Amino acid sequence: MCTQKQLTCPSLWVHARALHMAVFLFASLLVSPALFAAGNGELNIRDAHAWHDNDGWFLDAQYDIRLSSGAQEALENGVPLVFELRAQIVKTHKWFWDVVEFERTQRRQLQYHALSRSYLVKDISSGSQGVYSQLDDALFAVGLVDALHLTDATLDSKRQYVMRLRGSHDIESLPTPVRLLAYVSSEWDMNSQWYTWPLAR
Amino acid sequence: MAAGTVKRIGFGIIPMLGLFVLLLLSLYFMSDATHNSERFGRMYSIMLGINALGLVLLGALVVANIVSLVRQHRQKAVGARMTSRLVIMFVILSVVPVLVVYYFSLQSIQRGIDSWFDVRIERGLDDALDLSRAALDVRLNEVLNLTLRMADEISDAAPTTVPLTLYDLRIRTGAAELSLIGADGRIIASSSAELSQIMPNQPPGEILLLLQNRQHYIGLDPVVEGGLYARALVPVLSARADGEVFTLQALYEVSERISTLADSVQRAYTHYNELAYLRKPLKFSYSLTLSIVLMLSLLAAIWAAFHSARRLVAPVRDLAAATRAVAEGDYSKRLSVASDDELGFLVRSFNDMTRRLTKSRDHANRSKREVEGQRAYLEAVLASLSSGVISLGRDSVIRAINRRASESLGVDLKECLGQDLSKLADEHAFLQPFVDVITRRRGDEDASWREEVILHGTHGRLVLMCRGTALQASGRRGGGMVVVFDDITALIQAQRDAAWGEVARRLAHEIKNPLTPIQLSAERLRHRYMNRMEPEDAEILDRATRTIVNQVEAMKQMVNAFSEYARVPQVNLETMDLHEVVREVLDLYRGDGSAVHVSAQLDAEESIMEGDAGRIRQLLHNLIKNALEAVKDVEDAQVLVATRNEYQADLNLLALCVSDNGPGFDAGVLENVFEPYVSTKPKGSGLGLAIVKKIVEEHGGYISAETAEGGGARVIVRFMLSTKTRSGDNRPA
Repeated sequence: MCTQKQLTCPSLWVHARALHMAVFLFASLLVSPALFAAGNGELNIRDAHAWHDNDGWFLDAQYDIRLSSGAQEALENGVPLVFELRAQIVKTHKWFWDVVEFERTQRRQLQYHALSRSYLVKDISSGSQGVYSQLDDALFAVGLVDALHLTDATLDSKRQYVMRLRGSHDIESLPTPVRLLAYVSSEWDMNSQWYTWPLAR
Repeated sequence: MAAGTVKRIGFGIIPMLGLFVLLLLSLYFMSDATHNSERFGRMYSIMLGINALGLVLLGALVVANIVSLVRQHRQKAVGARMTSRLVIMFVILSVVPVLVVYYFSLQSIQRGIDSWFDVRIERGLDDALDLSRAALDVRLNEVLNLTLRMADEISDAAPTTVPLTLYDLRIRTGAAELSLIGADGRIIASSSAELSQIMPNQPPGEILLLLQNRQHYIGLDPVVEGGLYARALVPVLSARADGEVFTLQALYEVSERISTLADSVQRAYTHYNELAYLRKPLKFSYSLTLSIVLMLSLLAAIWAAFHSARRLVAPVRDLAAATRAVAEGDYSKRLSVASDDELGFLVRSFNDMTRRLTKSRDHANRSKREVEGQRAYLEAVLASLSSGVISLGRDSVIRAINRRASESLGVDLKECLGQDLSKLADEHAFLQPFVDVITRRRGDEDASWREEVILHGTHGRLVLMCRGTALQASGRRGGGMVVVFDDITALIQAQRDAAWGEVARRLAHEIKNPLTPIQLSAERLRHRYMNRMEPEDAEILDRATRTIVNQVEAMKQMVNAFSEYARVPQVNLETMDLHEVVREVLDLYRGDGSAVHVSAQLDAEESIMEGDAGRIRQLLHNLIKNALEAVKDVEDAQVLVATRNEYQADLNLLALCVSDNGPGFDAGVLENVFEPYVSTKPKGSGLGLAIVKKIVEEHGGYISAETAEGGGARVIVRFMLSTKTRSGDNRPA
């Protein structure tokens, strides 16, 4: 059984990959190849910085989101998009698997408000929201992480730690009919690589 | 092993039904999830995955079934064709209606979803949204004017009274929040209706940028959970000397009714737009669900077709396999009766048939064993008999021969089993008289007969006492004959030898005893009366008594010869070289100045034999003396002593031949030339050749005599060396 604290969990990872693969294989038999051809979206972590004070560890980061035409179309038609930032403090081992010591996930929802012709950005965890008349401002607000509290704990000074971030678009939060297409289309593949740096204490 | 596992897991009806139900349930949840149901929405991907895996599993099972069927076809397995036909029939019956339903369902889905959307509704919703915006715009203008007025009031107020002014203005105007913001974006003063809100609402940066140009901003701030705020930002010209420009931000709560209505319009518009956007994916999802249902139905139908066909064909296949087994002689096959229908009846009939066949076979085997037992018993009896037995069929075919028959005749008769009697004579010429007698007797009317047969085989003369009995005809195999024979050669010879021995003993006893008194009496007569008689009478007496004495002496010699013949042999067998003995004996006859030319031709390669050298010398002396006497009146008299090795059947023989160029044997005496007292010589005792024969028999050999084609007698003695066989077969001349 895999615990949440394990950095890599082979069985879960395999299951998730197998599920994705099975869905992809099956759907690719049925879905028209035209669905795959579209402008791709992007999600890149531009900058990140972790710091600590008496209250614990905090994260400042900025990730850039570029919506694909399909995603933008969905957004403007009222489909809310949920973006997720996973931040992990990982204890590194020389000979064994690395272990995730702390993990924090920040989920933000971007939604178009037709009446006010504005974009609403809501932090799902805290409930705070912002209203933006421009999409770029809204996307900037989604990607801006300011003093995200990671943990109250202090880290073992004798051990090596790395901080890593990964931003992604949550396909499972899409309406069900779109979900299958989102899994098989690169248009909806808005995931960043792991952004990793050693943690200075 | 993998095939077995697939068979165990996949071919059972219960696991398949379980899988089918599971997939149907999963499909139901998936379909429900497509309707955006909250219950299963999150499980959609998992359901889809489960269905895909289920389909792959079903597909693998079907492929495994097809591969198995193809393999059975290639192996020409029983029932493969029938299974194929049934499967094809089932598949056609199930696939066609499913495909028809699929096609029309697909059409219905496409049209049904399209029918949800109407341009008029779309336009109505757009209009409703515009109307809401227009209504709100009026409110927003009011709010903007109110805020501008408040800005004027604040600009006139002293800096220290600004917070109070803000509070006063908020109370008067009913604003939710009033904030005065500096040029650097700092909030200088604020008043809020929400006491719990410590931090005033910060305007977005983009709006602050807009205000740097001293422009107004009025806009709506929607709240995600519902509700609207009007946000107005206007520049405030400070009365201070530094001329700093402030911004007044006023937040007004839109009235609940308008807010609710606007929110309703917004939600409906968004929902409709979302639906319109989701039209294509929705169609795809429904089509996908339907396609999975189709695939599931098709694969399940194909699998069911395989399963049903296999169940239907199984009894027929078992029956065919069992029939083949019965044809190959395996009657132990019993089939289990699985059903009570016609096939079950057929299987029961088959089981009855095999049961009866088994019973018949067991009975036949028992009879066969009994017959074989009787036959073995008969063979044992025949084998233990001291007489030779030959059984002939009605068609003169040899049916049975016992071991003693082969031993008596000196040939292996087992090879002649099953052959015609005449073959016996063809392969062993010396058996011709024996075969002739049997053949002749088969033609007779007598049921049983008895006859003595004399054969001249490789072992010499053979006297057989044959008794034949015709077999009663019983059925197809009857009407033959059983011939029982005994080798009485030795018996007859023994009787004859015993008779001669008795004669000799009596001669020695009865004649030899009075001879001495006769001789002594004759000599006494001569001695007493010869001197007293007249010369003329004395001469007569002298001649008479001399004749008596000479004849008595001759009779004594004859009696001694008989004694010698009758003597019980004291043979001392040792390893000896025949050639050496022949040379020794011949040396005695070469140097005596005789006119007869005695020569030797010793060709035998193997001349070492087991024998008594003294007796062999006597044999040679007798034969050579006979030969010399036979040629004494012949010019250019020749006596030849020759040896050679002969191989007859499995016998290795050393032959000694003494021949001369004399007159040869008379035809009348040739038959009994070795009998005592048979001689062609005027002075012969008639025991020479008889003694020779006796010596030969003492050495286990046999003797024969013949007259050569060019004249002259020839006596051949054959001694056994061993039973070693040679490929070259020199038959005796």
